[in-house]
Amino acid sequence: MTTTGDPAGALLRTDGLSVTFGGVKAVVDVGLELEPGRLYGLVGPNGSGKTTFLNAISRLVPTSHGTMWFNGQDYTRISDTKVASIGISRTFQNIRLLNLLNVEDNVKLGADAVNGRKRNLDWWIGRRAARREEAYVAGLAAEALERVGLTAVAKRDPSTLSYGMQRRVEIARAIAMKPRLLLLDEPTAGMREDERSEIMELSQSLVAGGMTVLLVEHNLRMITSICQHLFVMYFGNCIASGDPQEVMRMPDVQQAYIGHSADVTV
Amino acid sequence: MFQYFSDNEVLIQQTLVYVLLAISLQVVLRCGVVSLASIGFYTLGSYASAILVKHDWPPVLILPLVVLASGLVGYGFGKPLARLRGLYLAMATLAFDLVIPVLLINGGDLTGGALGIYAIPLAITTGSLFVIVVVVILAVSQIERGWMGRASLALRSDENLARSMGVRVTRERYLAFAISAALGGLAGALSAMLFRAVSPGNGGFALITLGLTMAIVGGRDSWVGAVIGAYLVTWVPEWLRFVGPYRALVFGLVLVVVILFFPDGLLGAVRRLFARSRRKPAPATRSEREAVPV
Repeated sequence: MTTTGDPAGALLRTDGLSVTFGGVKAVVDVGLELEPGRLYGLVGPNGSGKTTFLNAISRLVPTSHGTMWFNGQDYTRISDTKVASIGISRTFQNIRLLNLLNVEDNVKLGADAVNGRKRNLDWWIGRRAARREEAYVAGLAAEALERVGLTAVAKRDPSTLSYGMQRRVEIARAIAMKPRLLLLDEPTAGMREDERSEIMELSQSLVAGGMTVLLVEHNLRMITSICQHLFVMYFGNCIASGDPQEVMRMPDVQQAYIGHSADVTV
Repeated sequence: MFQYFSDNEVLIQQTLVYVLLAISLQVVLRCGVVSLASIGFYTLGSYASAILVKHDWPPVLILPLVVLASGLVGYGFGKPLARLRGLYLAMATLAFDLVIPVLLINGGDLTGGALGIYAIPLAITTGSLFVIVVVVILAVSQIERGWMGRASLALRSDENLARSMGVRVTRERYLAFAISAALGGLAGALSAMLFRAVSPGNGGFALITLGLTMAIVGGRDSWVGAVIGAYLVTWVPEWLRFVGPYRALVFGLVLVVVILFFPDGLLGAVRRLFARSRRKPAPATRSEREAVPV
């Protein structure tokens, strides 16, 4: 599916995006648009290409075809290390916190991207300059930790936190990068119902603050209740896009999920 | 105090040179770059320094020259080795380290062949060496803290994560190569100036093992670990003189025990001890709080 339109009008736009691994077509000709300040959902059965699509738009895997625009700029060929600086941050399907660092330092790793990681002469010899920059980064990290409600555990080793808390540390690290687009890859996987609700409320509050969030989820009831727009992927193709409730009633989507059309209410 | 210093001056000098050597390995290991090339630069630095001192070059010129040249060559090394990781990188840099003594043995009059270069004029004092080591530690501590410290640990633990956080992975790896090579070269140059003799046997496999022992047993996450490691490998064998011919065996056992029980080095063990004493229970999540009857 390919969406056309003015690239400058959308925050993110992909056009004919494809990713192949050898002979395997993981993402096939996907075109979608994300507008600023909205909460988007991306669903699909296991192996449908959701995470690969996220990896492609965050440039962690190379694309084989297609174009990607962010904020009107073509970023299809930029380095993966520059994606953070243009305003895209992400979390991963599996928790990827650094246990060598405490919670605050994990979040600072994200905030460093905002600060630009300067290494000028002043930084090498001027301890005061280094301290000033560190204080700025610490401020961004503290703000992000407060946002996810983890200020009290800032000095803790991440491995000593509950699974749900570790997930929130990852989100804090991503939002410390001050992104315009936040990609959350199955942020509630393996969580209890109450922990899921906390993450969903957090996603909604981030969107209320002006951020665009693209949420990959398996819990259809939850994602259709909070997202403003839903994309469905199946065998690497984006087979549906639109209002979540309407999308879930589409025969193609039902076919992809349960093998036949049914009167499904989510 | 003065008596103690004069009795142990050689050991103190050796410790200080080893601190630099251990840091040179630690700088790369901390970034997850398993490069042993700094040992090769140590050997090259020691020979360059020996030759130049014998030609009456002043140490104030030799040292910056060796550091700069080693750093530049080390940076250049980063390019062909950029795609190698883990053991493959270790093997490639090990080959570099082992080729250098062979070249030096066949270097003719310039390198002194298998005998090496002797009777090098004493070109540096222990005080100057101490100042150099302190300056290096200050610079390295700057690398370990702040964003560079976090970025290097991210590089070591999860390269993809580091990339998504905007860490310029390739550039940081090149820089780690360059700093490691520069410090290896510096340690070698100082060693030649202090101990007044260099030979092809000074480098090679024995020094690689020693360097890795210092960096790993002390703790690879901070320069403090390098200092601990250098102190350990220099002084513990001296303390073990009372066991006579079994000295090497006992020292080996001490190292095995440290590696088995403290896999993140002695510094890591001390840190964990402090962290355990400070640890408090995590506050409950909102749902857990709500579940508690008031």
